[in-house]
Amino acid sequence: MGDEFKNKTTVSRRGFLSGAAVLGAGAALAGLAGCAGGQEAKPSAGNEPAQGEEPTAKSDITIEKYWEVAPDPISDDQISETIDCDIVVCGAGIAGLPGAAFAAEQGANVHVLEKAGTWGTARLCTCGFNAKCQVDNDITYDRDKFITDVWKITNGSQGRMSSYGKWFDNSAPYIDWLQTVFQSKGYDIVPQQVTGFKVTNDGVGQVGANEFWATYAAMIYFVDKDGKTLADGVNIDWTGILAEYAADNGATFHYNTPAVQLVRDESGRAISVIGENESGEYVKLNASKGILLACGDMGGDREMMGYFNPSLLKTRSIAEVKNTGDGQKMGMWIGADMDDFAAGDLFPFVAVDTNGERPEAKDSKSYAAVANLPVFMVDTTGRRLMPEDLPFQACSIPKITATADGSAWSVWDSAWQAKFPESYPKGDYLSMNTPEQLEIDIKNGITVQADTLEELVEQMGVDPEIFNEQLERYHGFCAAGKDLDFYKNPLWLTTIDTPPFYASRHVVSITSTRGGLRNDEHCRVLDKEGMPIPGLYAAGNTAGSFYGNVYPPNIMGSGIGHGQCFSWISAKDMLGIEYI
Amino acid sequence: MEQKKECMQTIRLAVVAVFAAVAFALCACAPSGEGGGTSDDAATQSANAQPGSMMAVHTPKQIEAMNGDYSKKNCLSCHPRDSIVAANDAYGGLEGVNPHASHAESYDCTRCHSIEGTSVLVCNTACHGGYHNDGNGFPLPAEGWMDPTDDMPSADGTPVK
Repeated sequence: MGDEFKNKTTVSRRGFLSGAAVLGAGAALAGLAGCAGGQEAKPSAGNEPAQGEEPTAKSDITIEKYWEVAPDPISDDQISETIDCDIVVCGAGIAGLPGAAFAAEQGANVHVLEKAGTWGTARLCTCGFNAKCQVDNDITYDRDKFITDVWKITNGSQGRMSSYGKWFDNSAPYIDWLQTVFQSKGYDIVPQQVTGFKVTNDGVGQVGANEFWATYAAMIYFVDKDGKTLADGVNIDWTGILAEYAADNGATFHYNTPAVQLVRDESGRAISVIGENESGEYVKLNASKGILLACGDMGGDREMMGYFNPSLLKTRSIAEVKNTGDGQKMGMWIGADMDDFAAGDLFPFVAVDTNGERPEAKDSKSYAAVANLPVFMVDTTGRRLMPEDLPFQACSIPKITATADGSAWSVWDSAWQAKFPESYPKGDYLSMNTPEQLEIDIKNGITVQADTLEELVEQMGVDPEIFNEQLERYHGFCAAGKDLDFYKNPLWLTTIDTPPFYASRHVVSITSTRGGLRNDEHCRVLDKEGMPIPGLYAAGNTAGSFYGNVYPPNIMGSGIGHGQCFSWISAKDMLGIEYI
Repeated sequence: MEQKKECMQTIRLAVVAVFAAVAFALCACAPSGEGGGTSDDAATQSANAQPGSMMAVHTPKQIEAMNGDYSKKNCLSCHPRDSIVAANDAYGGLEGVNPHASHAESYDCTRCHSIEGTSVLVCNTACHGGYHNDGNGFPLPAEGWMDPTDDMPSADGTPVK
C-alpha cells in the first residue's frame, strides 16, 4: 500500500492503545512473522508512550487505517476481457470451493478467481454435527448444550449469537452433501471418533483434562480410495478434489488472478468483480446472481491484524502470507462493515530456545518433550499463567499471548514420569513426550537442565523472587490437592522437587485470523447501516459476525466447518434454494 | 512414516531428471526469430554461466531479447504459465507439489531464478524446510541452486515470509 492510501481516523484511547504503539509493536515483531525466525519481541513495544513523548490526549490519537481507503476505480477502458456469468467466487480455498462446487453442480455458470497458483491447501479436517456419517456411527450432539456451551466461552457477545445455531443446523445437510461429492469420486469422509486419531491434545477423554470447558471434537476426516485417513498418515488433497468436482460441473478457475475490486451499480447491488492476471491485465466478471468473498484471512497484513487484535502481534508465523485481507478490504471499499475485533486460530507450546529462536536441528519437534503437558507454566517474570490442563488451544490466547513477550516457560523435574497420571499423552505429530526426546531437546538447547532450582531460574532468566513465591504457592496447592488459583485437575498438581530440574520456553503460532465482514443470517455482507449489500456474500475467514475476539478453543474444526457450511449456504441463497 | 520415507528417496532420485526436463521445456518454449535460440546457441552459451542461472539455460540472443526486462509478464510471454506448470508437475516426484502452481501468490520469476547468479528455491523457508523431506525441505532442482538463507533469502534478495 502506498502513502496515497493512508487514511487517518480519530479514535479514543479507550478504544485502542495508540497507533504509534501498535506500529511500534508491529515493527518490533515483524521479524517474528517470518518462518525463518526473527528478533525477540521487546516488552517495551507495548502500550506505554515512547520515552520523551507526552501522553497523548484522548481525542488526538489517530490510526492510519489504510486498508479502508479504496484505490481509484478501475475504469472500463482498462479492462482487457469481460465475462458474464451467474456467480463469481473470490477464492479457491477451503471456504470458496464448497460454494463454487455446489453452484456449478446446480447448473450455474460459475467463475472462480484465485490469487494463488492453485487451490487452497487441504487442511486436516472439516467439522459438523449430526451428519449421516456421524449418526450412522452413533455419534450425536445436543443442540441446546452445544450452543450454550459455546456462549459460555465466547460470552456470546461480539459475534452474532445465532451464528452457531445456524451452523449447527445446516452443518449436517452440508456434510451429507460433501460426503456424496467425495463418494462420487471414490473417496469418503469419516468422523474423528471412528478413527480414534487425535490431531493433538484436545482434552476429550484425556486423563486429567480440565472440565471447566466442555469440548467438542466434531472433526471429520477425509478418506482416500484405499480407506486410509489421518490415522494412517494420509490426508488426501481434498480441496483439489472439490476443485475438480466444481470444474467437472463447468466451473471456470482463474488462478494467479486475484480479485482486486468490486463494482456496485446505481441501485447499490454488487454486480461485478475485477480480477488482475499475472500479466497485469484486468478481467471484469459480471455476476448476475451473486458474488462470494472467500479470500481468506488477514494475517498476511500484520498492521491490519494488529489493529483488530494487538495480542496477535505476539504470535509467530502465519499459514498463508498471501492472505492479506483482500476480501475484507474490497468489501470495505464499497461500503461494507467490518467486525470490531478479530480472533486468531492459535497453536501454543511452539518450542524455542532461551533466546526465543526456533530450533534448526532436524530432530527437534514442534513441541518440546514434556513441556506441552500440563506442568507448572510461568511467564518470563516467573508468574504462573493458567490452568495448564486446558484444551491445548485454550492456552494460547489470551493466556500466553497476554504475557509481555508472548512466551512462557514450562518447568518440571526428573521424576516426571512417576508423578504424571499413568496414561499421560505420549505424543502426537507435534510432540514426543519421552525421555529420549527430552535428551534431544537438551542437546538442541530447547530445554535447559540444572541440578538446583536456583541454577534453573538463572538459566531461564526469570525473576527469582517472583518464581520462588509462585512455586511455593503452587506446592501448597499440590499438598492440599486443590488449585485455588486456577483449579487445575489435581492429577496434574505435580511437585518440582527432584533434581535435575528442567525448563523449556515456548511461544504461540497462528494459522489464521478469524474476523471479517459483518454479514446476516443469509451470509449477505452488511453495510455500515446494518443492511445487506445486494449480491454480495462472504464466508470463511473473510467473513465476520461469528467469533468476535474469542476463538472457542474447545470446538475443533469450527473455522473450516462453519466457513464451508456458510459458503454452501451462500450459493443456495444466490440460487434461491432452501436451507435451514 | 515409512511410506513417506520411501517417497522422499524417490524424490531425491527423480529431482535431477525433473530439472533436466524443466530446463528442456524452458528452452523449447523460447521463441524463434530475433532472440530465439538454436541448439547451437544453447550448446555454446552456457560455458561461463553460473549453473542454475537463467544465463545457463538461455542463449545470449534470448537474454538480449529480454532487453533488461525480467518482469513476470515478459518471462511469461515466452514461457506461458501452462507450460511451466506442466513442466513442474509432481515436482521431485511428489504428487500435488508444483512450485509453478503453488499455494502462494504468483511471485516474480527472479525471486527464485537468478539471471546470472545463484538461484534460490524460496519454497524452502523454515516452514517447508521443517515440514518436508525430514526437515531438509524440497529437493533443489539442480546444481547451482541453494536453499534460502538469512543473507540470501531469495535470488533477488526479497524475503519470503
